[in-house]
Amino acid sequence: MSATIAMAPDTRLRRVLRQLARQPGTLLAAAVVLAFVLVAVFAPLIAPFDPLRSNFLAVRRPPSDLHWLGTDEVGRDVLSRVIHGTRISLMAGVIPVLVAVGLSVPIGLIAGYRGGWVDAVLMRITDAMLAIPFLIVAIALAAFLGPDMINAMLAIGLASLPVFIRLARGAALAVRAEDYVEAARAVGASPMRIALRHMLPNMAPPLLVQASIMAATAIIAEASLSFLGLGQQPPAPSWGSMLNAAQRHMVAAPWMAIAPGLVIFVLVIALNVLGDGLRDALDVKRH
Amino acid sequence: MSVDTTPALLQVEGLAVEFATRDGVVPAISHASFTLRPGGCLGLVGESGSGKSVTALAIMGLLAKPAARITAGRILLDGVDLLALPPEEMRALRGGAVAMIFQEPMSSLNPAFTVGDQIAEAVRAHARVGAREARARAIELLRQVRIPGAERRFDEYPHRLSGGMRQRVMIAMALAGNPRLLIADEPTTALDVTVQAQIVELLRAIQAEHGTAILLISHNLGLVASLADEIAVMYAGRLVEQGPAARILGHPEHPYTVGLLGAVPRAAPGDAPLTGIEGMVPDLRSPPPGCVFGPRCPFCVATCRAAEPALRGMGAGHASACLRAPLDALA
Repeated sequence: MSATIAMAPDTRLRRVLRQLARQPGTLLAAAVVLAFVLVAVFAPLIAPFDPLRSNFLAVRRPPSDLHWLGTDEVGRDVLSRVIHGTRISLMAGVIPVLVAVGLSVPIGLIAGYRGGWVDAVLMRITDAMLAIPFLIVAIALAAFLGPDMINAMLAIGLASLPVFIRLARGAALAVRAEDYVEAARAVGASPMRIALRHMLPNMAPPLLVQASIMAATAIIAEASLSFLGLGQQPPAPSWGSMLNAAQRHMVAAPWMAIAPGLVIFVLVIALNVLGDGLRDALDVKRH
Repeated sequence: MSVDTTPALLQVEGLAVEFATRDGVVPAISHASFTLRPGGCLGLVGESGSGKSVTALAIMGLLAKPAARITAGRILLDGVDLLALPPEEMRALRGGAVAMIFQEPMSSLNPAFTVGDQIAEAVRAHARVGAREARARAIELLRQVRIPGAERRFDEYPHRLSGGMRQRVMIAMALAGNPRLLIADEPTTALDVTVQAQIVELLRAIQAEHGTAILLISHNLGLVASLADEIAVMYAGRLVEQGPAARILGHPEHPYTVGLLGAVPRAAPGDAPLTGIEGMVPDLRSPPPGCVFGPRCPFCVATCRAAEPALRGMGAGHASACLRAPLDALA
């Protein structure tokens, strides 16, 4: 019997959290991500200025006491725009991931559980999707539905779908071979129940790790699309569109580019470190 | 085979199972027949790869399709052929009338749910009861398998339990549907010796209290000797000897059984030295001509290689598939 009988009920979540607590880098990354989330939630309260209000008396001003990160080409406060842009960027990190996970898990589960020709057909379609470049999908969607943030996020989510489908299928295949799935079958559990209750929760770790990495990629992708004018439309701020505007003033007003570039960098690094930490903490072989 | 006249609970007739592999078709079981009476315990004995577990999975309807194929035979439970049942009815039977416990208690529980949840799920798979009732029944089952502090244990995750405790939980799950037949596939192999004895004791109690018949699958003759009243010995997918446990253990009439018994360690001083069985289990894709045990048998003669011997009655419900039985005259 284990020596920890008298302790509060242990859960896998608790174990993972304990594992995470032993990695200072991961904790720091989690704190950074949490800080960005708080900034996004309380953006109107934190931002010193209205991010959309232009001031033609203070165009492209360098950082000062009043405008900590300077102003842009129409005199808007860069700090306020970065703060409000956090909302868009975090959404750009989360929504494509939700789209990808939501679509890929059922498909991967069906492919992995059923096997045979169902698996073969689904996987060939997935392979075909892998061959379509992400930017082309994004541009095509923008062309058909108009350039807008939601379409950009949809494109990012669809582009990462095949990777998630493959991952979900692999996880389903691995979990299906577990003894407890066989045991569930032996107590007469229905296929639906086996798939949803016994397989799905145990497929979560690799998907969670991939989701955190993908969130970082998606934020970059949103910035790229907004930079190309396919994402967030002016005047609403997003880090990518701010960079887009800043490129024309790189020499005269470098602060316009430095601030959004830096926050993209910090958030993406934090998400990647968090993903690595999650991977280590969720690695069942280490327990 | 048996002199007992009560109708059999489980009757396996001429079962044959093949596996399609990359290297061709492997006949895993060839025409195995045996019966198990209600409340009895049949020990299915043999070394790894002899077809014991395949037999169990065939009864449960859990053979991995399409690789495994049942090519002949019937499996009758209370006279109903399980092989002819539609999948839905077979599923209702699994965990209901027929339950199974596995060799690996460490990995047979879902790590994502509490043990109580898993037992309650097994309860609800076979009875229309609410969550509260299922919980009460699960706690009662935990008590039945002698888990101390059942209410507390209900909410614990599998990784907090020892191997013996997990096997008890597996047994509780198996009992959830009030099975008439419990298939125990190497139930103690993964456990410590002291825990093995407790599990054996538990199985014996379940058999006595609930009248559950047990099909005990093991390579461990000591375990089988302590539980089974009938024994069937499998070798290379064939039943080579079967009969009452006392007869098989005390007076084996197949050289393979003699070899198995010679390989069981004993503790008494002055016992005969441990012996092994020479050679290897034959490649089932190209079995040796005649008796499959022939190449490893000390008594093998020319006639043994001519044709495969069938089971032959040796009296008192005992049957052996050895042409040279009775063996007394040979040794």
